[in-house]
Amino acid sequence: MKSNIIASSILLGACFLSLYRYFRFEEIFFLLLAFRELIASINFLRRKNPIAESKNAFIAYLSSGLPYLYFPPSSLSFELISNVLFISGFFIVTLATIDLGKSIGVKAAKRDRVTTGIYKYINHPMYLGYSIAQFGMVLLNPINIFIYILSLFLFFKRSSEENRILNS
Amino acid sequence: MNKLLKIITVLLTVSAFSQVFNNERSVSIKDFNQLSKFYLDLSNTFLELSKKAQSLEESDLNHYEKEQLFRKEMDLKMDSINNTVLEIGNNFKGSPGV
Repeated sequence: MKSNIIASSILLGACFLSLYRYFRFEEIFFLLLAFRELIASINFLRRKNPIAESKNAFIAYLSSGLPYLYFPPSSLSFELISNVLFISGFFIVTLATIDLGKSIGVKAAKRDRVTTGIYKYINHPMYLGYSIAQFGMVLLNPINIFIYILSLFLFFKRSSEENRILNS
Repeated sequence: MNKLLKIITVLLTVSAFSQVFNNERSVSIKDFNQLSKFYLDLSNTFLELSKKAQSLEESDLNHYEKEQLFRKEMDLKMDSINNTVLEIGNNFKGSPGV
C-alpha cells in the first residue's frame, strides 16, 4: 500500500511538471504527457496486490530512470520527425496505461492479465511506445544511441521477466 | 470510462500532431532566426551611425549642417528598424513573455 502511494505521488508530481511545461511552452504534447501521468497515478492508487512478483526489481527501476540520462538536442535538423515520434510513442503508452488499469506496475508482477484493448494486438505496448518516443532523442543527439541501445536491452529483459512471471 | 479516456487521448494526440505540423508552437526556430538577424542588423546600424557621426565630425561643415545630415541619416535607419520590428511583430508566434 505504501509503495502504491509513493509511486502515485511521484507520477502526480510528473503530471504537474508536464502541466507546468504545457503552460510555459504551450505545446499540446505536454498536455498528453500530463494526462498519461494522471491516469498512471490513479491506477497506482487502485492497483491490486500481486499474486507473484519478480525479486529482481533493479532492471525495472534502471530502465524507468534511464530516459532522464538522455543528452539534450545537439541539432534540430530532425525536430519535426522527433516530435512525431514523441507524440506517436506516448499515444501508444497512454492507451496502454488506460488498458492496464489496476494491473499497472514498475517491476514484473502477476496481477490480472490484460488481453483487451491495445494488449489484444501487442504483448508489451508500453515498451513499444517508449522505444518509439526515445528514438526521437537519438535523432536530436546521435550520442544518445548508446543509452537507447541499453534502454532497448532493458526493455527486452523486462518483457522476458514479465512473460516468465505471468506464465508461472 | 476507458472509452472516454481513449477518446480524450486521441483528441490530444491529433491536436499535438496538428500543432507540430502547423508549427504553432510558442517559439519556433524561425522566430529565433528572425530575432537574431534583427539584433545583428541593429548592431550594424549603430556601427554605421557612429562611423557617420565620426566622418561628419571630421568634415569642414558647420555645427548646424552636421546635425541636419546626421539627423537625416538617423531617420532613414530608424525607419528601416521600425519596419523590421513591425514585420517581426506580425510574424512572431511566441507570447510576449518568452
